[in-house]
Amino acid sequence: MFRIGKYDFNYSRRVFMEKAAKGTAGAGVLCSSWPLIAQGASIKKAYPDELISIEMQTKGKVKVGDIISKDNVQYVKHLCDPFLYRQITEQGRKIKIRATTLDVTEKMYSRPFWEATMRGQAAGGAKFDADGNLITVGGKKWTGGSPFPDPKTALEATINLTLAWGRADMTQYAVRETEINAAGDIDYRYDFSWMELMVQSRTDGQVLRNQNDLLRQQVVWFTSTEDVAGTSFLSTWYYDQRKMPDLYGYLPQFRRVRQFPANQRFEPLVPGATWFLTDAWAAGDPMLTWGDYKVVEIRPALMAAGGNWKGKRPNWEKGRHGGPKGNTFFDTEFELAPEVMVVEAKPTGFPRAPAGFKRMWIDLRNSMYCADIRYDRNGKEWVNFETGSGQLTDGDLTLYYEGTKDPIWSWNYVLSADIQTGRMTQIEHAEKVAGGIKNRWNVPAEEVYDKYFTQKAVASFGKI
Amino acid sequence: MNEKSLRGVGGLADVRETGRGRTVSAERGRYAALALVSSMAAVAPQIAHAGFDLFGLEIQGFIRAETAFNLTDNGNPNNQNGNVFNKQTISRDAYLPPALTTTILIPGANLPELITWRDVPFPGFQNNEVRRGDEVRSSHTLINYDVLRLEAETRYEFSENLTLNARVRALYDADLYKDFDYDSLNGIHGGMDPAEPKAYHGKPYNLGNPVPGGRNPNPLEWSGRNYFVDIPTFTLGYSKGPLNLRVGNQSIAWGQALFFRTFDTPEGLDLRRHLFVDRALEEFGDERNSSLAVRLSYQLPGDILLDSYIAKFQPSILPATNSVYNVVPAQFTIHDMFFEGGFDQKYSYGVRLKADYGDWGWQAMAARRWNPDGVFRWTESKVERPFYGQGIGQLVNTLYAVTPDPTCANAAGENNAATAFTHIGLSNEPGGVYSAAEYFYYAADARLDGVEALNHLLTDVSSCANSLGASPVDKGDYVAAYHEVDTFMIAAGDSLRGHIAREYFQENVFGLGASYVTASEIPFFDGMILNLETSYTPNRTFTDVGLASSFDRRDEWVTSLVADKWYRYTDAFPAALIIGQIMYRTTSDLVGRLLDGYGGTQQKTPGGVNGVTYVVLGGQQPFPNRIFEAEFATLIDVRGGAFAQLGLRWNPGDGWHVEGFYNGTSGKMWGDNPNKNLIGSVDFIDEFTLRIGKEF
Repeated sequence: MFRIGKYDFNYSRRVFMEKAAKGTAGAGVLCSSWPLIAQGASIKKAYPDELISIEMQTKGKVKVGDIISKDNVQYVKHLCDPFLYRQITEQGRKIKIRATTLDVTEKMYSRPFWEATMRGQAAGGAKFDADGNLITVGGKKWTGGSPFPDPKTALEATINLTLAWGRADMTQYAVRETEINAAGDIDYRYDFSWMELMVQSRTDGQVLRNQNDLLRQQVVWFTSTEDVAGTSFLSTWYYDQRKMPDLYGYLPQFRRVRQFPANQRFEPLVPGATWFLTDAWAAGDPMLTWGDYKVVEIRPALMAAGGNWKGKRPNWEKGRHGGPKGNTFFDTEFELAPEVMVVEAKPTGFPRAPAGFKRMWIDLRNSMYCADIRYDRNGKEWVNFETGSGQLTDGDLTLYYEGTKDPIWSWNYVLSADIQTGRMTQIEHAEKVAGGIKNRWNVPAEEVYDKYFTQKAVASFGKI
Repeated sequence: MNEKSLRGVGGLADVRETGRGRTVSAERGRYAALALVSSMAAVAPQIAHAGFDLFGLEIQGFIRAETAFNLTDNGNPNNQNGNVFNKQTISRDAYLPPALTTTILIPGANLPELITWRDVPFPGFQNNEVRRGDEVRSSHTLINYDVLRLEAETRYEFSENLTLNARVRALYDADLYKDFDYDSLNGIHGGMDPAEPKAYHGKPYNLGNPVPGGRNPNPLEWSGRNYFVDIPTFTLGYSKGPLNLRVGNQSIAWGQALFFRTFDTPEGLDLRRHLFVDRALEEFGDERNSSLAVRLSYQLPGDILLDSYIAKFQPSILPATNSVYNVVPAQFTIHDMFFEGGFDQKYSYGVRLKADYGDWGWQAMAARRWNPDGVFRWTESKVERPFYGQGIGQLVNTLYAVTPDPTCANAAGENNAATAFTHIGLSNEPGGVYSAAEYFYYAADARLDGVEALNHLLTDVSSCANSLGASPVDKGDYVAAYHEVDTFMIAAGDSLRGHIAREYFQENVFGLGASYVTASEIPFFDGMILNLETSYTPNRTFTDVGLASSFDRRDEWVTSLVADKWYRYTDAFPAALIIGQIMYRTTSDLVGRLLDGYGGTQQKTPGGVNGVTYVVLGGQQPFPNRIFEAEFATLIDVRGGAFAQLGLRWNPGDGWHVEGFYNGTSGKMWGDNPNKNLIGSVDFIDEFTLRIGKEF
């Protein structure tokens, strides 16, 4: 049963255009959505039906549970990012449509991150200082959670991504990466662990080891294949978003830790990879090393915002389909996101960057992106670092943070598609990968800091 | 490539130098194909891609065929079959030994010599011709290096804190080289004497490392002439808090540079496989020794990393005599004292502190170590053979028998010219030095002072050389020295091999370093990583340029500046890694030879050089998605020598890797004397290496 539409289809479009131009209003069309989210209520009241119902949006052509293929993509073409549309029409990609998530509080946040967000808002929220860095209204460094849960500007939406990548104080992901060439052949497979440890902006409000100038430590550590096993990079992020992270790498053939230039962020780490460090979480570089931020548009869009964790399958492995060999794309679910902010930024701090600009498609329900499209210096589409995220729930199976009944929220997959070479990097959040790597969340810092987040630790990852 | 596609490539042809030149080019293709067949036949089977489980252990590894094709007709002059005198007929003149007028005729009289080696030609022994090649055939190898390599590794976590790391490395050498075989000399005075160490019999130990008095120096190595298995890593690691402890066989690397090892003091190098001319960007990854060690690192407050070790001493391993990359002239027999001198019971230890603060960093190092390079001196040959030469040789044998030196008897109490030989640094065997010209040529090539080496040979080892009629000459008197050496070569009736002992000495090495990451508006100079390292070794022990048994002890400073830069030249390609390095050494060259020995020739005393400077330029340009990577590396001795490597790495996927690189050396890029620079010592390398590997 649908509500009777109070406004015509173009009403939402006009509202979005106005908001994008002025940059002053928060999310919501009929009313502001943030008060609803803050109260744990459905956002249903904030949007007309055509923005929360795919069936209404497509005038009945597409229903929840339908599979979008090249045969019916024309009904949702206006909701697709350019990569998604081309993949469906030209490469045989199919996506399953799921219902729009309306219970944002419970389904699109993790409990600890949500509570930190609310604490931050209760304390007055955040603002940018004269240098462009994030501070509380009291002038202190941000204390955790999403600083702008109702972002109104490109910078507010971006800092939400940059500040809290994994939206947890500590994460360790088991990751399996598969490189597929334009012919659909699997060229390379890698296993690695991606770890993040927040130093500040933690959900517990603490500053780790009194390192007031730091934001986070991050480690990527390859465990397979043999050629790259032991390859690891330790990145130390400063709170000051104008400063490049320190980057140390351990390359097994060198048998030693080497320093790498921090601006080395537009290079593939391993053969075949289409993604760069700059792509991570659509905010792989400190926010102020990019510039010319602007809101390109606000619009509804299809987003992989849930339903993409396959916890019942062996090693959480997703099905594949499409492409020349039927294996280029994960089987994924998308939902109609009522309000998506498309933010553009340019790599102004990287004069030699091969990228001209990027566009992040950010879901204003929880400030998480789905499409992150990198354009080359000629303005041509290059790579989409499409990321699916959501709670780790697969039917009746849910993973919880240890010792709680709070479902874990995480990224689920990445499809990094290079449209210029036809290569696809599949990055899958696995249950376990080579080297005995498993997933962990919010392990106390004292248990992991020395073991994983120091130069000494990085060197010890090598098997030599 | 598979086995089937390479069937029927034909047999080997014996390619040796003939009077009408070589017939090598027609065989090159056959060798190339055969080398690949021998290596890749075992690679061809498809292997599971992502490792496998063995008793619950995840095993990963690779199989790789490594073949280097020789692109030059010049052999390695350090080897018997590449000796530059093989093709030359040398005229020798014998002179009346001054000692004949004193020591031999009236032993113990200690009379002043009445003549010198310049004065009295020995009647009937002038213009005595010898052609080394009459005994030692030259041959030419089309394959420099051909091994099949298997490496496998595993990691097992017993608990959150306790981890096992293990890596096994196995190589098989198909031995497709045109090796010299000492057995080919068996018809000449019995060939090599049984008293010679194992390495000086038969064909070269391409992969083995036989050291007298013991098994392989590294307890976790099993090797022979053409096979090699070791466990370079077998450690138990314990990690808790800021502490990281690794116990077991391991390789410890300090420093950060191509070719240079200013701070890289814990381990020596194993050069027996592909010398130092493997893929340069691997930075001695395959060459650096491993040793039984305890390594403790601790993250101190203030972001200071403490890294310390105590390790069983493992010396650097030189390529075997007559192997393709041999660097010690094969006329020498090396008596490695590692076991006999008790050096297998020695330990080295050191500590390094390292800290990084944003763009700045510093490090300090102190090590008390046994220098793995080792030093050389003359030693007793232990080979009991008399002079074989008709005339002079017989005369000396007879005269010595009349007035034997009581210190020159053998264990059985016999005392004659043959027993006297056992106590001097020479042996009368084929495959040695055949003329003074050869002796002084190779002395200069080895950065030695030939005259001083002759004198120390006669004075340092025993009095027996003097009792056989030899006597020192004045420093720098090449005329007298030529006469003396030629006289004894004629007396030998064949050739004389030199015998040197390799010993090891303890030293303290101190180092300081600083690093800085540049910031600049000019993109090329932005984000450049600079590393300045300097080390000081007081009273380091060097091989004396005259091979004196007292060695040569001096202080040494080594300073290097390394600049790394990742730079994007074009949007179409990932950033290129550009490496620029410069090193200055005050006392010895990159391989530890005193600079005093530089600059000599066949006719001239080495004048030495005042410090030495090396420049390294290297880099890597990945192609999009890193599927191809172009690489280059150069090592330049500013006095005229250069090594260059140019390569391409291909990652075709599915676990395969293909690497091809060219290696070239020139000892005379500029300047007229290759003995004035480092590269002149390896100016025989001109090759293309192909490595094809498959991961599993």
